[in-house]
Amino acid sequence: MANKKNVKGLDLGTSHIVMACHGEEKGYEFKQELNAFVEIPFSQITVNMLKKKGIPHRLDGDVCFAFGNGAEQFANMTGGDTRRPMYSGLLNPNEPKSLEMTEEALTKVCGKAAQGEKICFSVPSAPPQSESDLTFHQRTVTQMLEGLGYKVKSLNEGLAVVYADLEEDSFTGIGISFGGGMCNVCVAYLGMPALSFCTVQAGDYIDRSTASVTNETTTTVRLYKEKGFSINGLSQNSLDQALSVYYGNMIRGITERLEKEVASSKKLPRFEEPIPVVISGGSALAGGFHRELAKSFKEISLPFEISQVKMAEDPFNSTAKGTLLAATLEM
Amino acid sequence: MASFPDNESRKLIEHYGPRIKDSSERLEFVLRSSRVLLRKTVPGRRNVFGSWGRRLTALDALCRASLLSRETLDPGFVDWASLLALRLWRVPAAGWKIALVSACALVMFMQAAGIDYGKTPGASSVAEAAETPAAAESREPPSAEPEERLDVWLVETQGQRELYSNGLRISNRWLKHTGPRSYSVFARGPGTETRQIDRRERPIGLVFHTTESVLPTLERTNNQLIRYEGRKLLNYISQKQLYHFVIDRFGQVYRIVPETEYAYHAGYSLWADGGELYINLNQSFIGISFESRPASVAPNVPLEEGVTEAQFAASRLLTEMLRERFGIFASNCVTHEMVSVNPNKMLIGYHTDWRGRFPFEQVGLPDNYQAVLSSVADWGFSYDSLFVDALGGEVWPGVRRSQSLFRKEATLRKLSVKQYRRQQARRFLALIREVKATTPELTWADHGVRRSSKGVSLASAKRADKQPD
Repeated sequence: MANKKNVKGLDLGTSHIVMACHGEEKGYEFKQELNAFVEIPFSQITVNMLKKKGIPHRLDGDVCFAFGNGAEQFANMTGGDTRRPMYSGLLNPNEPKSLEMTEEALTKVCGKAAQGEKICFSVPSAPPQSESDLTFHQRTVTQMLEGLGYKVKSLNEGLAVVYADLEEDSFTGIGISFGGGMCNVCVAYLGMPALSFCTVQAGDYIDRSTASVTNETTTTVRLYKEKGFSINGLSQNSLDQALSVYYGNMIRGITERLEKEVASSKKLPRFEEPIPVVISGGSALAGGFHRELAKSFKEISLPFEISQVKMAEDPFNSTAKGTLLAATLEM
Repeated sequence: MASFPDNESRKLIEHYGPRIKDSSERLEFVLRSSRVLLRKTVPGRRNVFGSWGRRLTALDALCRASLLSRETLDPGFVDWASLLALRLWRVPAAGWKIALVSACALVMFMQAAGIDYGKTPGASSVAEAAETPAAAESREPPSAEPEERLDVWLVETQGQRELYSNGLRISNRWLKHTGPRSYSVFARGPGTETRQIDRRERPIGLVFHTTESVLPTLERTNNQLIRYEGRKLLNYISQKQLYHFVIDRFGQVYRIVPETEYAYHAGYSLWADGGELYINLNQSFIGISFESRPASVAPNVPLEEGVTEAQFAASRLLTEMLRERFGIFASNCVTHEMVSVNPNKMLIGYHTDWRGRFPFEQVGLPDNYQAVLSSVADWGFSYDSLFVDALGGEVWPGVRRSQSLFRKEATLRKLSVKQYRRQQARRFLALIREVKATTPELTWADHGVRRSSKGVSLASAKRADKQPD
């Protein structure tokens, strides 16, 4: 068992980066940053303002990049959208500043490593037909973290949720992380991954699709969603209606895919007792989400029973906590 | 093969796991226990005592791997009593067995009647001896991503060629047969009396070798010579059944001996994994050799100038396939110099194939040069200047860690390092004699490449086919 003070867990998500470490006294401490940036024309006034507000930024010729939580404020001020270093759970191949901004964000969130410090970061399951993208993503992030002096390890995102929230079930069950870019699912048996997959219908998909049918920007949709949206069936409000439709689509997409994956898997263990499902991630926080997912699970046929569908204790930090537990193990 | 522990094992883990309050410690217990018990799950093998017997076997494995003990998770009286019954059952005397069946029936009856015995201090006599520092440190580290296994399967066989789903191609053109594997597994650690705890037929690990053979320069004009030397090498290896697989300089994988049979690749060798010790890896490990020149992995030669990228790529695929097929743990994928010993001189590194420079990461494995060597940490094996010279002046980190563990153990036992080493040397030689006596069919031969700072070709090895007696 590694020294608990000398390890970190990192949830490297499309929309947020969350770092977990053990607290001074006991428990866990989390630090999060929006995984987005905004490009602003350079001016001394802007730079002074960024400095004053403590917003991390980087000067690059005649432009300035503000990233992290402060980037959103600037995007709202200018009426534009933030840019994302990651897309669908992986480094964004269409974003020329992807690598630089990810490196900046990692430095900001994790800092330089202490002597022999270990870190475990989350990786999604390989997206269909994009295994090589995952390899590139994993290797690149590993290099970046090694550059900061860490001993690096990675962990499947769905499995991290299992580690964080299925302790009472001996780490047996289904962990689902509903993130921004991807939904990651892992069926685990005694902490060993039996099946994992991902879908790209996640938070960003909902934002993009809703924005497209309501003629709003994705930032507006996301802020509306985060204000306390609830899945409530048919609604007169077009935003509510569109969000309900796409949330429903994402939920059905996950459960139906799980049904198919389980049916085609040759290596699933025999679950002789019902197993729990634990859900986490920002996209699972919508009102009524938990109820809709439980309903959807009842509509599919699986070779094992589901005992309960439960929300993670700390849905936003669950993946980071799981990676921290994994980092604490001998690496 | 089974990829997950059986139901009885799961119940056992679920029984003991919740006693651990700390989340990360509980996760570590669950993962380690699963891995230990996974090996006990042999499809098709029946236990005469049904699910109760399977539970006992699992309990026994957890105790042997030091996952359950009086100091950490103390099994209750009924479990201790059952364990005692199981161990006595294994004593080959019919009288005992009859008495024990009665004892077990009594325990089962009392268990069924719901009598709660609680924990009895006197029950510790059955417990494994205290865990040694070496065993504690070198228990197989459960990776945070516990042995994520790729699904690799045989896609097609065309004549003597096999194609696997991960792209691996194997040629069976030089295939030879030896005999089925069968080897003893011993309880590991100086704190315990070294005794056989199991007998298995399934390979448990991989040993990476180098052929250290004649390699013509890779030039267009040398084609004929390259083909000739390549065939000559494969022919020799096949005749002597030296390895299970050979990867030639072009990355072509040849199966020489089937994985389910032994090959003469490791000679006097030992490796420990968690609470288990394996002696003579010819029987328990699969040998994979890279075609290479004697000096190609010398410390002053860049690795890429000797062994080719194609070979590493092929070895990665081969490793994936073998680990998937036999459930081999990454911690059990090692190099010949890590396992090879000279028992008469109590020296490690009788062979120095990779000279501490095997690029584990390139073949998708963790850096096992960090691992504790049982030969050094438990048995007090040492090394000489020849070994250090072959390694380029410095031993790899795992050797140093192992030495420090051995010193700690000697201090704990209030012995000087020298005294303790002498004691362990006697025990090891006795163990070797026991292994030889109980398994007369055991072969100790190896591929014959001896250590030297310059390396020796296979041709010269023909003259020295036997290890020191």
